[in-house]
Amino acid sequence: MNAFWNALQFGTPLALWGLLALPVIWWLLRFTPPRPKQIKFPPIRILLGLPTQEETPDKTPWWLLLLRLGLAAVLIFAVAQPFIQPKGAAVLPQGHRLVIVDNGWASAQTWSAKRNFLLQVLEQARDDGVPVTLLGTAPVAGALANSKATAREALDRARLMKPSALNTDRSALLDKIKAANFTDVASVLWLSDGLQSNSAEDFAKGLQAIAPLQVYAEASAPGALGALRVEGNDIKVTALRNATSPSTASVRIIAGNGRTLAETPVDFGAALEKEVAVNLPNALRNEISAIALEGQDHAAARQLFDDRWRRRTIALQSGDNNQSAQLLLAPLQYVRRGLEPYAELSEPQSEAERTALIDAGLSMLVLADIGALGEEQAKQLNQWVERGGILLRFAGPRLAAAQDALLPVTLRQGDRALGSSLSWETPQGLASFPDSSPFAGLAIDPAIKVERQVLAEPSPDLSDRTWASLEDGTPLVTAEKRGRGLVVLFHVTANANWSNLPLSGLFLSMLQRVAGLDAAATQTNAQTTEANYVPRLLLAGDGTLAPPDGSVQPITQANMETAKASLTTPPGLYARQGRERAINHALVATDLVSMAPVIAGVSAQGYVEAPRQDIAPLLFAAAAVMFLLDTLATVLLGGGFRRAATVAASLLVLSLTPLSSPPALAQSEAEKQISDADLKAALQTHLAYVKTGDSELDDTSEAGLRGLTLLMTDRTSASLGEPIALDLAQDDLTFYPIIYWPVPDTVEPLPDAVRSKLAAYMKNGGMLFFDTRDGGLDASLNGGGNASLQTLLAKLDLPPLEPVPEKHVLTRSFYLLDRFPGRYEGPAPWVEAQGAIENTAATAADGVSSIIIGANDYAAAWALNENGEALNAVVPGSDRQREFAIRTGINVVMYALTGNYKADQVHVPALLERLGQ
Amino acid sequence: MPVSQAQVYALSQRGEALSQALPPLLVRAEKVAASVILGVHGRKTAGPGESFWQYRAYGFGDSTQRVDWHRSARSDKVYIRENEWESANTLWVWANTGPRMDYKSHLADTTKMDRAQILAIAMASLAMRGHERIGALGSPRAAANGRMALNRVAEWVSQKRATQMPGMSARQKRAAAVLVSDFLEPVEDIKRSWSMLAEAGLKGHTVQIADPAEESLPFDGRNEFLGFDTASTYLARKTENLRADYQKAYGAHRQSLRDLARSLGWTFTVHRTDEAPTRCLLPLYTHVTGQARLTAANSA
Repeated sequence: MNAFWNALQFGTPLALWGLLALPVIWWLLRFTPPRPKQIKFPPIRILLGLPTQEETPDKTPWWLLLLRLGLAAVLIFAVAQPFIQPKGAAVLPQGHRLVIVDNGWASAQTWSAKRNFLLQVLEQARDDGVPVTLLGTAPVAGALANSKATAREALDRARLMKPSALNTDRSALLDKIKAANFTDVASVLWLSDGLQSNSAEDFAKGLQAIAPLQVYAEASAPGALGALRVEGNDIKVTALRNATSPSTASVRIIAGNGRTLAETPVDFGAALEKEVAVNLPNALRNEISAIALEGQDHAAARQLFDDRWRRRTIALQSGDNNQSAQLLLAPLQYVRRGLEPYAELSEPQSEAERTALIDAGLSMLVLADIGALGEEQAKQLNQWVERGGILLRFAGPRLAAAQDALLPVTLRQGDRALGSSLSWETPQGLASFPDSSPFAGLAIDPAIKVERQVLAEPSPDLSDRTWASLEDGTPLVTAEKRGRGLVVLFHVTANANWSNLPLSGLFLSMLQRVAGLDAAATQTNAQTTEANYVPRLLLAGDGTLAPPDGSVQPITQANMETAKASLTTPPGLYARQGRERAINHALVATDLVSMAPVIAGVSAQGYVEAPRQDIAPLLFAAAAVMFLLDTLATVLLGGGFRRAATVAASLLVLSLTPLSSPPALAQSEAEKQISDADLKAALQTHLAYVKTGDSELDDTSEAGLRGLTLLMTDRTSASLGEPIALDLAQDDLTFYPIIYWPVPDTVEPLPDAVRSKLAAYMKNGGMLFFDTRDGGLDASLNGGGNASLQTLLAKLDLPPLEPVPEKHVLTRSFYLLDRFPGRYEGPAPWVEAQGAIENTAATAADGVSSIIIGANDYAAAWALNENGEALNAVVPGSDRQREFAIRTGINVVMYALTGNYKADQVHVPALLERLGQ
Repeated sequence: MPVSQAQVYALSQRGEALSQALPPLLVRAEKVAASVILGVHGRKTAGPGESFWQYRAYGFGDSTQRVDWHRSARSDKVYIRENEWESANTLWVWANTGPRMDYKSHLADTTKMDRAQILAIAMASLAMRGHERIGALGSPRAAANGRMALNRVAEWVSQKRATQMPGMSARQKRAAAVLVSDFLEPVEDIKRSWSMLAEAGLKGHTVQIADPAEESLPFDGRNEFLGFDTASTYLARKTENLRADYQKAYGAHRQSLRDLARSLGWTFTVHRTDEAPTRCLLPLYTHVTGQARLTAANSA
């Protein structure tokens, strides 16, 4: 129990102040009894006159008070978010603690767990009240910035600590620690990432020398990617794994917007490294921003893609038409050969083709010795350049003769020839490239001689636009930024006619530099001073890209070529003049070897975090239960329990009802047998009535139909059998021409089976005779008719009804009648409306109404005892009324039996008149 | 509260519909000998009227003016021609439409007031069809015959009023009255009211309308009961414990009403709102026509 209280902690302990409110709640609750239910009751005088009962308490019962107080207390505790987390078990000596964390990329994958552990260690130090020095093994510039600090400060720093994208440099840290010369260190904790990388053993020994060492290490190490290469069309990358990692992985190619372009499974087998080659179409390949190892979120599992590996689409066009005749003299031969390995080349033969290429996203257009462009073309090309295209032009006789606006500089008419027989000047070599030029850093080939060139008109910004010049200072390559694009002009031809530049290797390098330019960010004017690569986005430890924080210095172009991921050159994307270069980790399989489980005599422990158990959900659940109890108690006290119980019971019954339905199979078996009753019913016509379950009512129906049958036999030629009582659920209705249905006072809605049975009966020519037995009172009283009848007929598909109209067959099917009394002298019965019979399926029933709804309690009027005497008095009462009640019954039965036979009699007067009688 | 004409008609129609199951009402003429008002239906006995009833021999004390000389000339005796007594009685109806009547418990389908109005109108309608004169007790209008009178009665009855006791107007003498109310006032008050009517010569037929909840007190637990027409409240801690006492008290109240009616020679009928109105109408009808008494006499 004591351990429990020690381990109990609160997420928001401030909420516990709410407990102070409990006495107030107690006081409020104590004097607020549950509100009684208020009932308005007319005979209150009688209540007031009753002998006085004992006083009702004006206070809440003590148990309800306790329940509510408990509820409030539980809620307050729950809001304080209590949880149980035993403190770390390791007992460390008091005194200065050195806590060293491997915070290189290898920690990033499981950083949150490692950080929680670190926080736990530091919290323990805080509880122990000892000073702490928190150090990371990732390389940091300078000496140890922070030495001894309180655990609280260390906690703050640990909360902000993030894994670095770099490799750990443990030996450097060990040197720094030694240099700092800690004297009072009581213990050393090393939270390792578990990798052997540069000398875990030495590091541990060095730490052990300072103070007793405790080592924690990851059991497994993350996977990583080796250096990225591009060979031809293949993008190749080596996937690496630790011996403990699974033998399958997946390499994902990611586009700039984060979408996955391709995913390649890697099966290492037993090996620790595996090379993966990916071939993508050019358009997709240019979208690649990175290659990542699936499921690994750290800097070494990600290789960034840069301009070197992107392929551009370049169109070549020359003014000379007979290119193929002499290959070595062809104007584009050298350009084509120079750019072929690095880009998709196409040579449009017409302007239409070129336009199509431009529309398709051309990145560079090479025009060799094309003179003045047409105005329309020039405009089109200019727009393309301004959108970001690179236009590379070479001079030649045509350009020398005529020029257009799409040139970086204004050219003098004509060209100049150097070293010709008429010239004093000798062919000129190249001057070294200015630093601002994209060509900076390229070695000058002294063999290059330029014999002829076009000359630029001098202008103030000519030198800014010059990328390369001859030794005498005349520009050889000029460029101008237009919009987001570039116009570049080589002042010589693209073949060897004017100079031997295209024959040199330098020409290739220059072409590549031009082609590699990202025109969008290129500065070709006065701003072109950034000779160094500036960090644009740097990899964070977790493999995401983030803007640099300013601590990283720009890298010169020369250094960039050899740069590896290090403190001064952290992995990420660097940009210079629009050209983007990436620095990636270049790991090999040995970098992922785990360190020994026992190191410098100390066995490494795992990062086992004490399990944290939240109590708040339990408390909330308890509060919910208590709230329900309280509600129940309130209901009980308020006297509403009985109704609640009724509702609950009915719900229970409802939910159980489907279980009690009998198996349908047995019933269908039973139905195959023709019952004796059915056999009897089929042999003779019988009147039938519906058994309602009300025995008095059923007796009346029985007696009534018996009487009617007797009278029918007396007065008509119909010979009917004994009346039959029908159970709608069980019996077959087919055999009965008319079914008398007295409507009881209370009814249940019909089950679906019965309803469909009735619908079929009515549709197939049967007749239902409902009798509401209220003399039509309920209809007029309740406005909507008899409630029981409504319940019965609900959902039954009924035709429109009307009161028996004059000259209806029912008024003359046997007797001529003008009223239809039963026991009461009520309103006339309702039958199917005449129009409805003619228009609907009821014609199948020979025009006979399938339903009659009467109200006058007919069976009671017909009922006779054994002696043939009437059983019931009629109201208001006369023999004539009874006679008419009997006649009504006979007419109804005859109507059911003979159908519309008498309907023809309706027309007799008209027929006789027509016959001329 | 003003009541629209449409509501009045609806009420009178429903009342009439209810009364259709019964034959026209002939209010039993018991004390009407002195205040005969000529009506149109004969009373199967000789008296003032227009249609021939019988010839009888001239006797001592008969006025010579009444000798029928045509008949007497054909024989040696002197005959007097008598006509059938044709008279009409007056039926006053009154229904309590006070606030207390506007109550419907969960056990009942309709309010007490609605039921009281229907019964009153149904009786008035029956009387109207029996060519009696009808009027609403408390109304300033005189009793009259015909459908117009029925409409006036309906109009009066359908209005909600604060008074819960039948009023008295000047001309209500020697007639029958149907009084429909819940009669939950103290018995002394009711006695005063009924005695006043009885002294004026009215024969009362009282109907106590009761909601089933009023009879049985079907409530449980802690309840605060509020009155309709009084400000007093009653707080019951355990209502179920009260039930027996309450039912006893309610029964006693009803019995004292019954006794009071009997002592005045009136009739007393109880009607619960969860029953069909016809259940009440028939006994009431027999009371008013006097058939109940006749059958009682026959059986005796």
